[in-house]
Amino acid sequence: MIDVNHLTKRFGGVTAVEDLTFTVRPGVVTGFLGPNGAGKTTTLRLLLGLNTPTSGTATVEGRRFREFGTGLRHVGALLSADDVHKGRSASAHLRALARSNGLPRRRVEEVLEEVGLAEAARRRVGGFSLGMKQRLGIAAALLGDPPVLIFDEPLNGLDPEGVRWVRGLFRGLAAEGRTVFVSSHMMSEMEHTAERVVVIGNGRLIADETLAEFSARSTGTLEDAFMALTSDSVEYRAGGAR
Amino acid sequence: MNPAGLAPPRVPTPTAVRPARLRDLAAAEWIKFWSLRSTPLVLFGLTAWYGYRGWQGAHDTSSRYLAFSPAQRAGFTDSGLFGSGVEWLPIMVATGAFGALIVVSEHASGLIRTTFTAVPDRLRVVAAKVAVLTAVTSGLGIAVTAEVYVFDRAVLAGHHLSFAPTDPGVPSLFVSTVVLMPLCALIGMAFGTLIRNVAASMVAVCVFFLMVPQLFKSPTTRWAIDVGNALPCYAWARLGFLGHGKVVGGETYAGALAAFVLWPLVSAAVVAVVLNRRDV
Repeated sequence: MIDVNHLTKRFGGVTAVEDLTFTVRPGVVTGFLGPNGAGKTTTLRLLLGLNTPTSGTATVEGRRFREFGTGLRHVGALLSADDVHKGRSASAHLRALARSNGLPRRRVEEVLEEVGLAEAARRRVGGFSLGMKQRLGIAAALLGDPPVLIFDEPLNGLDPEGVRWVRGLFRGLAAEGRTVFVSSHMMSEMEHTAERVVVIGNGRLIADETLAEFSARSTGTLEDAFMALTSDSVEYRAGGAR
Repeated sequence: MNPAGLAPPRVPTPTAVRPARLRDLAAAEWIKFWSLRSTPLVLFGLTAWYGYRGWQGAHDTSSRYLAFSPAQRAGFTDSGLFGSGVEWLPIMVATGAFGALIVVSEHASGLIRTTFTAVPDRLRVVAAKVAVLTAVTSGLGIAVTAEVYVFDRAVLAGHHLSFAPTDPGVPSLFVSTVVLMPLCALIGMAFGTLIRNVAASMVAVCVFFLMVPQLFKSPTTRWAIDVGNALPCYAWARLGFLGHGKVVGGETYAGALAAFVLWPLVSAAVVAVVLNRRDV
């Protein structure tokens, strides 16, 4: 269970997240949607204790994340596929993470096998494609077999087989009763993955409902509903100069 | 039932595996440290270079000694590479750079976020990093000091100073030279933590270890003498063979010892406080 209560984060004069309140429950995949710059990544960083909130709270299983001594057995997270040293092998990267949390070495082999990187385990991450790095990040999130999983744009760079695999993985993890929270700026990605959606724009909550309820907001596609809902909060819009 | 109408979950409880200990964190940092190809290469390169310079320095000292008159020989106390403070500046820069990179490389790659997500208790991460950095650079210090000493003994033993391990000043030289390495590494780590940028951190390390000592080489005012004496290279010189007040006048042994204790403590404290509070 993830609880976000009146969460606000300001960077100087810029408000990234403002008075955000929502709950992510276990057993379903919850999509976290919003246009570029809406505050999704900032919210996830606040949740994971990487940034300190200006006000409000973000808790996992009722505790602030930084209260956990070690994190992998409580929350598995993929924030960015690039958050890894390019000079290390995939295996060394995961071995260090596993050891830091007292996890057995066999977990490294198991998750590498699960994400399809077993044969690339000894290769340096610098030679990985974006899709392979996403798989490595997912492997790291799965290392501790945690009850809560958080993924930020996990489908970027994945090939169609990878996208299908990830969707199945997320649904499977949720079906096991885990809390699965997946951010994306693409409604079409969530259409086949999430059962609930939390939508934000300009750092504020716009919607927190089931996908069916969200879909009912528009007579068109889910993407139409998303575009209509977030049109006022799109910060970066192309085509102005032509 | 959960919201999806599923059967009760079979999610593993977080207590199913033994809790991580500080030594697990240190082991994780150890894996990180050695899993980069460049690390063992640089450490081997430094050890080989100082072995070569130690051998060469001992022969240079021997040649000079043999060219002296008996009167000059009586007052001659230089001993190989330990007789040259300048020769030790590169390894101070190198260990400082190691210390900076252990933090900066994580910031530059974004790995710091993965690290702190895996271990939210940042002070434990800092403790593990400090422990590994101290262990590795102390090992480097022991290796380099030992090889330079061995060459000195082999070449100079028959000429002048006996330079036996138990001679006055020799244990102090050994210990201070070994401790100098983690001391410089921790100062570098503090620079890396404060600056966060690879290039700027390297410049800061070079300026601090190479250029700042030059500014305080011949201090004239009281404050300049105090600052100069507190610099790692001059404190080391006072504690080691180059001491006897010959490098920087006025420094006391106790003052140098205090500098050797305070530099690593203050540096580690800076790293802990800044990393514990900073948004990453």
